[in-house]
Amino acid sequence: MGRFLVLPRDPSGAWDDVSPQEMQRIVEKYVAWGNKLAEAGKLAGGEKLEDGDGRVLTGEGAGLKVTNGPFAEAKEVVGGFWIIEAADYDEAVKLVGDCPHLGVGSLEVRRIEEMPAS
Amino acid sequence: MPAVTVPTTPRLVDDLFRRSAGEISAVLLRRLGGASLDAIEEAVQDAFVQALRTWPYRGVPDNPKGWLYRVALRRALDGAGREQRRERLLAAAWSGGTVATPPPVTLPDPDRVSDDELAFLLLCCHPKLTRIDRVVLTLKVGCGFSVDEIAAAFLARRPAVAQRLVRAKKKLRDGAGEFPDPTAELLSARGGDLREVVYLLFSGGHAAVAGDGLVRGDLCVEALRLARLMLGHVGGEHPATRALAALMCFHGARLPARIDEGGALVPLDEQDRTLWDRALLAEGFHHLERAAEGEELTRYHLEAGIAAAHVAAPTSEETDWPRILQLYDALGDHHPSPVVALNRAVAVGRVRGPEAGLSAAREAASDGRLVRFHLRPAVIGSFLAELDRRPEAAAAFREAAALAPSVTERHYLDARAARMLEARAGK
Repeated sequence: MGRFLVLPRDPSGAWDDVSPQEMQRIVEKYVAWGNKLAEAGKLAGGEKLEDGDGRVLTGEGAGLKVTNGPFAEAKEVVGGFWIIEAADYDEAVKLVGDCPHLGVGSLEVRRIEEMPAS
Repeated sequence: MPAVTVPTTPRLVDDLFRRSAGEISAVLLRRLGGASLDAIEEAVQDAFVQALRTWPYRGVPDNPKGWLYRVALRRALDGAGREQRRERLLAAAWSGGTVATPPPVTLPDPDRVSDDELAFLLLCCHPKLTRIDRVVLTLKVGCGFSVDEIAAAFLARRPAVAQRLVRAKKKLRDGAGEFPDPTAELLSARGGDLREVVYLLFSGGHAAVAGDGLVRGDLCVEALRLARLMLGHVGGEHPATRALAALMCFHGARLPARIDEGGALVPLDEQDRTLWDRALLAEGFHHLERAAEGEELTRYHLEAGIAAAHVAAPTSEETDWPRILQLYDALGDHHPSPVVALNRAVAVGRVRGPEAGLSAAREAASDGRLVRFHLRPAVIGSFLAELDRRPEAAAAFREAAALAPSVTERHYLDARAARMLEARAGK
């Protein structure tokens, strides 16, 4: 069993002029999906990332440069992430393959490398 | 056996978002006094977007409505409150005291909320606005409908609806932006306007079904809710409001039987009457009784009477058509309109036979205002079918299908046209 990071990317501005009713339907789809994973013991957590720019660091020591970014105006933004549990990529892909997020954007799934016990 | 790592979240109450949109807007507008409708709307929309962007990861909070309210309030204070904050700062500087803290963030009690909503409805029905402006504004800000949904419900184009909203809000801003207290006097003074908006909402929702069925069904629900809101207020009691509520209950009760399992339209005389909503029917008859307490006979009384005659019949054969025809005659005198005349023609057909019905329908149809109305050829087609004039009936149903505002109705009418032609080929 391994842990996988699921990174959803949404096109920015995806939620402009969506009615409350419609938004509720969308939220419900995510909740149903999350609940399904949680009930199967496959969901290890999820967090929303703060809106707005983060910080991008480059260089080191005297050359360290800190810039704001990635920018919210970017074509795609990562709004949060989930961590799921799966045996391998096949299972992980199966678990997220019906994530409602795929209706608006894309998902990136990355296996979290576990430190070997020393 | 994998350990359950994250708890599941309960599902949301139906219509929670839409309901909250109206409530929160009303409460915010009251609380922030001078804030503009635009700013309130934006704050509320922001709160929903925030929910949409947070809950998928974190799950639904324990008190979703409170969460939405808190976020909306914070946004409104950040944005729209700029003006007020400046005033607070000035006041504080003047008195030498500290700056007042923002109001504590708790969800107001439900009684207070319905008062706020009523006040909000009164604001949306301001005398400065046209009827259509009032309806559109009520739907958008008071009931949480999107521009697209409003356009779909009233068969209008999106830019036209958007423009109307901008203009309506501007009119309210220019001078008349006071937030009215829902006093008994004001409720009774603007009661007629409020009823009209509720009626337009409702008829917009009832005029056609499904395809975009969700929105239309919701319009009926909203309209009934607003009528109940009025009746729930001390100053809101009025026989005409009772009649309007009765009318909506009777129509609303029939909604579950209007669409069959396959999504097809079921006409009134073929509906499974056991599917009608008993509780709504009972509520409707209660309102109708109270509606009779006044002196004045309104169109709502007559329409409620017609609807009552339909739902009172245990089977469609037992419908009291002479009574319905009588009521339509009265309605035609009281409130002449080509649509009433067309409906009356249906009753004429039931009472005096299809020939008489057909000629009454044709007479009604000669009114130019019905040119694009799909029920005009549909009613004529039904009489032609009864008279076994199949090719003509088929042509009428096809014309009606082409004009039908929803997919469901189009399918129904196409099927009727096809049945006419099949029967003919079989001969």
